[in-house]
Amino acid sequence: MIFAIIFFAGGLFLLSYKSTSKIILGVTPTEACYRPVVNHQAKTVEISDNGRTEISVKDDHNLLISNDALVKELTKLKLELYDVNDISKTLSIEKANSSKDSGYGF
Amino acid sequence: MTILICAFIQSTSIAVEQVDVYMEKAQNFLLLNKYKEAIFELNKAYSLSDDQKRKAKIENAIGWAYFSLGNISESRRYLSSAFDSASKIGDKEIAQRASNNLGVLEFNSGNLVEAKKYFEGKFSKSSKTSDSYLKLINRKLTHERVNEIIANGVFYRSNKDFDKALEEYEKALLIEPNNINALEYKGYALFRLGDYNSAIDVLKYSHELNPSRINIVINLIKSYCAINDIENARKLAKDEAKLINSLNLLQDGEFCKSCGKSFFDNL
Repeated sequence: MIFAIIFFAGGLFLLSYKSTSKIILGVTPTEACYRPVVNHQAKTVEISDNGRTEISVKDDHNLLISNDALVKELTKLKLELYDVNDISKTLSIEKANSSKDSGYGF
Repeated sequence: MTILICAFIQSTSIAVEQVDVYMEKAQNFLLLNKYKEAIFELNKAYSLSDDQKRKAKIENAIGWAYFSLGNISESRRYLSSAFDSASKIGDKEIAQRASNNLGVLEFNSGNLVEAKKYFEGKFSKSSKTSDSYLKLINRKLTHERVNEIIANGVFYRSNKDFDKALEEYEKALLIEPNNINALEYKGYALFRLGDYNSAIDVLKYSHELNPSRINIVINLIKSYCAINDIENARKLAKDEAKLINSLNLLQDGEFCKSCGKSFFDNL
């Protein structure tokens, strides 16, 4: 009877036990202002200057890596590039239209 | 017979007059930047025109209107056709104009090699437009070469080989001494190699050239901190507060190591 209870309790423990794994995570870019933000179970993980961090995770843990800063910067640059190209094209058209060897020709 | 000849001459002159009307209408629309309307009138003028020279001229105008409108493929089609027609009939003026326009189109589309071909072609060569664009193209091609060298440096940097990265940045700076990317990265490489005073010199110069580069400011503050020049570090942080405000620099381990966690206290 006692053994049965012990086995039963052991089985329950094994069922509820979730092993912990240590993982080493590397992220890029490593520059502080564009470095991804890593959240482990709603807690922000500290990342070294080399973009490395060590996390202990269990089954069903949430690990979120967000690149918001980088995406924001890329979007800004993309829009800036579009503006610069547009200005460059406008200048090209004006220059060509005022020149004798390019543009409409009338 | 005489009546027929007269009728033919009259109809031809009416057509020529009509072409002029359409052309004038198109010009007025172009002055108002109404490209679609202008293209519509130019197409009408083209269909009535039977003079090859005039047709080539109209095609060039349609192509250029399409370029102004932002329709690159139609623009390329019409300008190429104008160029071919003008070359065939030996009209140097229209061929030069169409060739220069094609060069400008390719330049603005980022096809530098193709643009160069037009500007160096026998019709465009030595024209004012081609001369100024060829200078720009050579500058851009040099810039591309420099960017490749800098990219090599960035590759070495990501492998933490700052000595080799520095070599690449210096190679780039030999070609373009004021290249802001090369200067910024060189400053950081010097910082990582522990040559703080040189890093400060390079980063200070970079900051003068472009005060809006956030990484230059951060690395310059770190370098000042590294030589214990806290006064200059804090002064710079204060001056550039607007720029670095959005960043939580205290999460930057390298920054904390150099300047300490209390750096921003009472700033």
